[in-house]
Amino acid sequence: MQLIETQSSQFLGQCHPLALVLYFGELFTGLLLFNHILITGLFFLGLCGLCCWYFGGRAVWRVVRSVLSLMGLILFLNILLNRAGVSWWQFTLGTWHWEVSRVGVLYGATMALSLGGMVMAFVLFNGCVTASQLRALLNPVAPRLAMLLTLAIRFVNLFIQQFRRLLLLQRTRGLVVTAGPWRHRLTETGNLLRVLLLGSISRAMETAILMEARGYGGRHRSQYQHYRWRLADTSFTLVAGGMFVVILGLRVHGWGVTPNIYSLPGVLATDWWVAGVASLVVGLPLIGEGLYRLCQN
Amino acid sequence: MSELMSLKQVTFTYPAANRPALDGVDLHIASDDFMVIVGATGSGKTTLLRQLKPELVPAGDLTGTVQYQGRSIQKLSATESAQTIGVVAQDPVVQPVMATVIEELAFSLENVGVSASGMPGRIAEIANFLGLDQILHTPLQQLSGGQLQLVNLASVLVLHPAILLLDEPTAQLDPTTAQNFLNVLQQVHRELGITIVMSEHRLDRILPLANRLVIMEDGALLAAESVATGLRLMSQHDELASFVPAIPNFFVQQHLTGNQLPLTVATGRRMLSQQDVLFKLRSSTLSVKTFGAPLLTVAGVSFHYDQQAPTLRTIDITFATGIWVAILGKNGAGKSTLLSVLAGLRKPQHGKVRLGKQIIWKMKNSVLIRQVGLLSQHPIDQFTGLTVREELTAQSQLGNEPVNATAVTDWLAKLQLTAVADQNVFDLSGGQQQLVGLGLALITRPRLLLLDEPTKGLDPATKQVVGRLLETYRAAGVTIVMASHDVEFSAQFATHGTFMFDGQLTPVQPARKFFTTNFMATTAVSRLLRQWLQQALFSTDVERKGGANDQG
Repeated sequence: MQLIETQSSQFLGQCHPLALVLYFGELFTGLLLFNHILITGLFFLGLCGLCCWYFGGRAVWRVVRSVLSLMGLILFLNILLNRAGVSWWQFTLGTWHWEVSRVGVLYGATMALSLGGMVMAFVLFNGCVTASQLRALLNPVAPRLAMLLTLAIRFVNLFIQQFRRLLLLQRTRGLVVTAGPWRHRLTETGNLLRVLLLGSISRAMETAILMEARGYGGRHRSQYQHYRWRLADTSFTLVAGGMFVVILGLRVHGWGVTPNIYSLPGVLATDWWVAGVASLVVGLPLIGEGLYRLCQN
Repeated sequence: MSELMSLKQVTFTYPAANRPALDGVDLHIASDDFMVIVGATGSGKTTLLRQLKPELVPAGDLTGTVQYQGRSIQKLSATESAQTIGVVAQDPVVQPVMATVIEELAFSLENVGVSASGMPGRIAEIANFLGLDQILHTPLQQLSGGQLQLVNLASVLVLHPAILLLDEPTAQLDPTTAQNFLNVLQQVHRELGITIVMSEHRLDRILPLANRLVIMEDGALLAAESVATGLRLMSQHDELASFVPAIPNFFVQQHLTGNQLPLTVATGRRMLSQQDVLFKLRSSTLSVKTFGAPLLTVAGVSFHYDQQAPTLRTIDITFATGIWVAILGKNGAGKSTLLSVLAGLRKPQHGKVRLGKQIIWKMKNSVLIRQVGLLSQHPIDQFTGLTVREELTAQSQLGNEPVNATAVTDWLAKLQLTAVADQNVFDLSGGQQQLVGLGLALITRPRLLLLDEPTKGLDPATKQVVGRLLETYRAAGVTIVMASHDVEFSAQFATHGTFMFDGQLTPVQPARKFFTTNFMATTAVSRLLRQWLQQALFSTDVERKGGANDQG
């Protein structure tokens, strides 16, 4: 998935990493709390819209395309395997009988939308909270973990680039993972990963030596990036926290939740209340952007 | 000037090695030195450099002492070592660890505990000095090799070291970028007074900046003299004569060695004018080579990476059997992409590439390996992590005529890899990895050889060996398409030349015509003599008519 980042001049780009992490924590929890198709659909579409606002429609469409294929697979498997409840459509071919149940379609769609929402929330998180922000956040409590996280993010990226190059160039050594029987492909993929690992370890050793040569590991590290907690962060966190408490309360009362999959998907007035609050949670960054612009000189 | 570092009777032997990599080396480095270490691959240059920084000292048996301002370097703390002895590696990609330029610069300062209030000033100073201020927030993965190497240099300079160690820092850069990097180094040396010690094969650009030349041979220090004295010693030494850059070498070859050897074209021209020497072309210079039927046909090929501007734009070209075409061009011009398309590894969006009559990306991979040999820009990506001998043996099994163990041993000798035959390919030096990559491309006996920077990291003597080896294959009918920044090598061995620019190739011309009509992308001797002899490319192309101050 392509790495996309918000512009630092926007409201989210100016937020304190802790405020961002708290907001995204609430957002991810919210996504897990509700299983009503109205709410999950709203989360998914709202997050797609939010991503488009920050990263541009073209960049987001590339991500959504791959997410849609995953969502389609989940929907298809549910339609194939879930035959509970009322049948919407039946098909018989000789002795083979197949039916598409209403529950299969709706439950599959709910699960797909929930997963899609989760992925889009992660895309937004990835674009808003940079590695250096995470490091700055973790550094005071777990400096080694903070540095390890930064290195891991960089090396995963290098790993992917290296894998792509190997995929291309190892063909000159007779190692092709895209042709032949599946068993052969699996063996070849294993061989490719072995080469990838060997090469990466070799380079990582060299990098580690060069890190030491620049004083890494010598003494307690200081920190360059310091983020100041501002009034805007307090306001953002309080509003987001308040909404989260409301959402939790609604969830405790059983609003926006379908306890019985056979009752899918009657939309009650209570669900609309949850949808309203969920829209505010998803739209909070946009409200922040609006207020941030209003405050411009 | 005062002594900054010293090595006294340093002998170093790698584990399981039967002879020392460094043998009784005595060296004194003064604080105003710009020192260049030169020597053949395996002569001990990198091992010597690594002895100068405690964190870099490899595993092995070490005797003798290495001191920094009278203290053993082993007694320097990690912070002291980082703040006094800086190091820049050969491969620009290996050093960085952070995501953006500013984070990379801050990383060094954070390591040594510089306060948060002290960091911005130091970063601002070094970023402005090296011209990185406009790319401070750029992700490192978006930088070119040259920019990345500058960031590596900056991330060391930000610690205010007294001495900088550089191991062939321009080996991965194109000539223009390499020159820019060296200019920055000169600025660092002259304006900041930082001592510089670097190993390098390409001496033509670096020697005018240096004041001392250290010559290594088989682990021993042959000389540590002024540049002029060092050059004269090298020119008299059979195995090191090829290291002498083209301009001073021309004066040696033509017996014009007066008090000094010129290092630049301008100085060379002035000396020639003063000595009033006339030259004429040798009669054997303009030899004609013949070529066979078309082998590889490229018709209307266009290629672009995902959502990006075209890298290749409607390329039409035919490569005849037995031709050797050198493609010159800057980094990022599309040379490597073109070679990968020609190798059938990438399918262009438009156009066709035919090997004989077959479309190349439709050929079975096993057939393709027998027909086309590819040396990629990073040969390490073609390795499978075995020993040199095992890699060559495995590749030969995929070729037209699988070879036996004796033949593999012959190949090892041909490629000067016998000494490292049983070492893992990932443990070799850059130059040795390049030779293994070349061996992998050749051992299948292909009809078409595609070579991406084949001389990268090779010392001048090995380049000659590689050039002659490839020439025998070309003469036997192998077609060679080579992307290269190495103008001297291309002019010496290629039969034809072309430029890759703006996604297209300029018309392919016979090498002599191509290089003698180029203004900048031509040999040093051509640039030296063009006002007298337009056809000359090398010192062997000309002979003297006579001269007033002839000392030869």
